[in-house]
Amino acid sequence: MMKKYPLEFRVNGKKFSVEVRPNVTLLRLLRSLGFTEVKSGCEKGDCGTCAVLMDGEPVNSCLTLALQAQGKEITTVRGLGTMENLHPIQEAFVKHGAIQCGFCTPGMVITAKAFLDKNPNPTREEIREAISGNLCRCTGYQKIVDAIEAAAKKMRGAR
Amino acid sequence: MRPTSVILTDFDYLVPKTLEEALKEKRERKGSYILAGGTDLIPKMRGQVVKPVFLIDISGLKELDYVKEQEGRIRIGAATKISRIIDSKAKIGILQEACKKLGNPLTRNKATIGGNLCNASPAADTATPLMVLGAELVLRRLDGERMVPIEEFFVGPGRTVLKDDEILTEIRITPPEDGVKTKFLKVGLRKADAISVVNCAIALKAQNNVIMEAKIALGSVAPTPVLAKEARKVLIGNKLNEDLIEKCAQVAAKEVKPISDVRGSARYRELLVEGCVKKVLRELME
Repeated sequence: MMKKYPLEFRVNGKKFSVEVRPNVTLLRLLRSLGFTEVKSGCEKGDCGTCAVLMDGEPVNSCLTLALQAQGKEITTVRGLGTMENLHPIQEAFVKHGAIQCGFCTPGMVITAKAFLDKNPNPTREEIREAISGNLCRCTGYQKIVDAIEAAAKKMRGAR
Repeated sequence: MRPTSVILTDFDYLVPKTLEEALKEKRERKGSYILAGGTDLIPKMRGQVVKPVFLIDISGLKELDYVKEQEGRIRIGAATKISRIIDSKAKIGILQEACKKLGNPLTRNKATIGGNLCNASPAADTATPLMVLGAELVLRRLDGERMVPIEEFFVGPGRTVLKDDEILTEIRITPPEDGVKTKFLKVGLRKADAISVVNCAIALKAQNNVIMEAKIALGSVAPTPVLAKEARKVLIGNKLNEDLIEKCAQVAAKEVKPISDVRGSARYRELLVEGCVKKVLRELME
């Protein structure tokens, strides 16, 4: 039986102390802790729906071992905003019809958040490049780009 | 074997706090693998292509995470992430061009330059630019180190000259001298998230339009990334014009040994080599 190792990390500000086997990915651990907003797609780093922020940097949680989150702060899409209090990016996704089946949305929003933190005034081309690691099979991306562009504008106004 | 969503291999996980500790583990633990970014290793573990007994995680080693200039040379720590190399201000334009085409923005936040090289994929996007830059790799072991020119590092697909007790720790580059022009081109099956069908890096130095020095590196067309030596000879000492470009590209296409796979046939790759070399040389001529 595989050995378990202690792991301490934070998810959306809440501290967790757990024991995990080394073969468990961060994606699987987060989902088993109830963070099912982090979706499991291709599990090889192609689709981006499992993206979370790790100390502010967007990464594929499927390509991260849970034990690599030791001491880190993880933010999932629920950590950005809730149903009652949406983040401007989430609000823009709803308003612009950037969500169809919704499966790519958690990863898209996480990627967009980290991108707009770095580049608050992007061109449409830069937005396309930024979300090129997040696959969407419904929208054709136009409305997602519209939403991120609108969110950027709103967030700039709020500053 | 079909990849599973759970990693089935049973292994021990080690997190060395220093490079020295990592080197000690690497020497003592039989069947150990180095985990850096994990973007390649973790899917391979899922598919049971790689079955480590010990996993030595160096992803948090600050000692191996840097881009710095020292005594006129650029030194890059092997565990430096691709996204960090893109953001760096060092004069390594062609490497940065290639890094921007590697994987996708999410994987670039995890993937490391050392991992891209140690995987030894013939399609590795950082290999060809480093080859035209004449990079040297520092391979450390507990009781010493050796320097290996990058073109001698790769042995075959997935195979390098790294010994069991060695870790790639640093990539050293002499920045191109004034007047050297460089360019990278990648052909993937889509704009992002693609593995190179062919990639091509060229460095040229010309004086009064006569080519004094040239290097052409090609990826995904042989068991390892390769330098096109015959094509280089065509260029040296001659004037860069459309005829010479045509000839050079044809020679390059003849000296590669591609295979057919899911991304393209061998013949398609030869044609791509010809096209890529032409395109890059034309751009460098301007």
